[in-house]
Amino acid sequence: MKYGLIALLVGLAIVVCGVCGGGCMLYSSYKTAISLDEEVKAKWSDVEVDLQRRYDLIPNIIETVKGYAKHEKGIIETVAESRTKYFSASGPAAKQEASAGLERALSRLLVLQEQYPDLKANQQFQNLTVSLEGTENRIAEKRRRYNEAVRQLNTHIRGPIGSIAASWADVKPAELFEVQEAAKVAPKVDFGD
Amino acid sequence: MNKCELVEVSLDASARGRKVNSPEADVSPGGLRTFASGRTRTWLIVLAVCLVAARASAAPAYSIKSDWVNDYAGVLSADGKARIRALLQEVEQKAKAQIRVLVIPTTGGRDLHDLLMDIGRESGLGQKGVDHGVIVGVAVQDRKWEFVTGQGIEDTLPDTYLYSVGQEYLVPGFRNGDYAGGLFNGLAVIGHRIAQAEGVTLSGSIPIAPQRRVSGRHGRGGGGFFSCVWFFLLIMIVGRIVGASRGRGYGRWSGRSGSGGFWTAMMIGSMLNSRGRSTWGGDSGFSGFGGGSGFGSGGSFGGGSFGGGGAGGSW
Repeated sequence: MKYGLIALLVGLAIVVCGVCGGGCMLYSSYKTAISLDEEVKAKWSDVEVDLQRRYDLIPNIIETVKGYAKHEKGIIETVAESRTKYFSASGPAAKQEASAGLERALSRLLVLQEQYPDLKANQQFQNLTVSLEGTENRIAEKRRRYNEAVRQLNTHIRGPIGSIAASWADVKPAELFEVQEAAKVAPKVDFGD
Repeated sequence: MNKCELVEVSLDASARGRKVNSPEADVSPGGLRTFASGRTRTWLIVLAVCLVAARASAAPAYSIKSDWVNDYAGVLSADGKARIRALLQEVEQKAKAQIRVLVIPTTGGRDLHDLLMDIGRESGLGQKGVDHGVIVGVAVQDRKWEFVTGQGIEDTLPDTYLYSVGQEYLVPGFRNGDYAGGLFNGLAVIGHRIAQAEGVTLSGSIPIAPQRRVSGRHGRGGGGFFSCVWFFLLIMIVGRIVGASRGRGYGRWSGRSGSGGFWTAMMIGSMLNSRGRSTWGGDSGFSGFGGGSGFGSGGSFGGGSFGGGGAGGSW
């Protein structure tokens, strides 16, 4: 009788400890999931800052190119159109797609300088191209950091406790920002005389 | 992977004839020491050295941690290196910007910018939160140059500015095979600009780009640039006058410099700093405080981050 009571108490203590421990783990996992989710959002807004930077550069590039390559209306219009598309895109997935389209159009525009030596020699165009290249590099770096954050989040919420915590915190797995090699702008041009 | 790279890096340094103070501590990866002792350990280390050295020669791992100027291509003269080093050292001391030079034979098909970004990330050049790191990379056989800038210094050194510095100072030197000269001229201009932004002045012995090509290619931005040059000239003259009035000649850096206070401070700094990774030995002009002393005021970086800023080109 006495032993039975002790056994019951010990059993209860173990259950209570287990529930408490599990609860603590779940809670910390919940907090981690939320902070990782916030991290992903912050990293995405960093990406957007640089995508916006590219977006802002484009009108100047178009203006400069127009002056030298009047006959290339098609290409110029495509750039303008994909810029508008980027503007109207909302959410990471749509913006990623739109920015890829913009990259494709831009790379076609930049190739034009090979046909128009005057354009290539234009100081403002050179500066714009250097700025654009810098922006592309920044986007690449921010994208890398964003993907790192996405991987951390997705790894965390895939675990047994993490997945429960994620549904509790309403955190969904995030999408990687894939590099579309074909669409990569390659404004790595040299103006060396 | 990271640990492996670190080992590779330190081995590479020792293979290149620089002195590494305690190779054992550097080389043996944590676990090795615990289960092996005495002679066995020595042999294990030798084996590891051979293995890693073989790997390192196959895929060279570049490091910018141990020195301001890192010439893996062997194109910089000892004197030229010393000049650049003195310049970068002064910029680091006065303007708190950490600039490193990396000269390599070839990137092996990789994008030089990506390579420098990796090195910047790995080294954490530029203090955390300040991010005043700059790496200038030269791939000699690829005929490519590239700057990458820390996030904190992007405003002082915009991409377009760095591109024009590269075109006007690095490229002419590189075309003549004068790598040290081109680098020194470009870095002097950049150093002065950083100093101006930080509200300090560099000593008068750092020239304002003697080989500057005057060209009309600056366009509208030119006015600002040239007025900067005039400003620096003024600073230089004032600096000389002040220097003279304090009874101290501002000699050329490559010789034994007369600015004693700076060097004394450096010496004390390097004595206090006993981490000692590389020595100045072998390079002229610095033998005065060679023997086993460390990396002076430099080397204390970590956590600096690079956001993709910079510019590059080819020649």
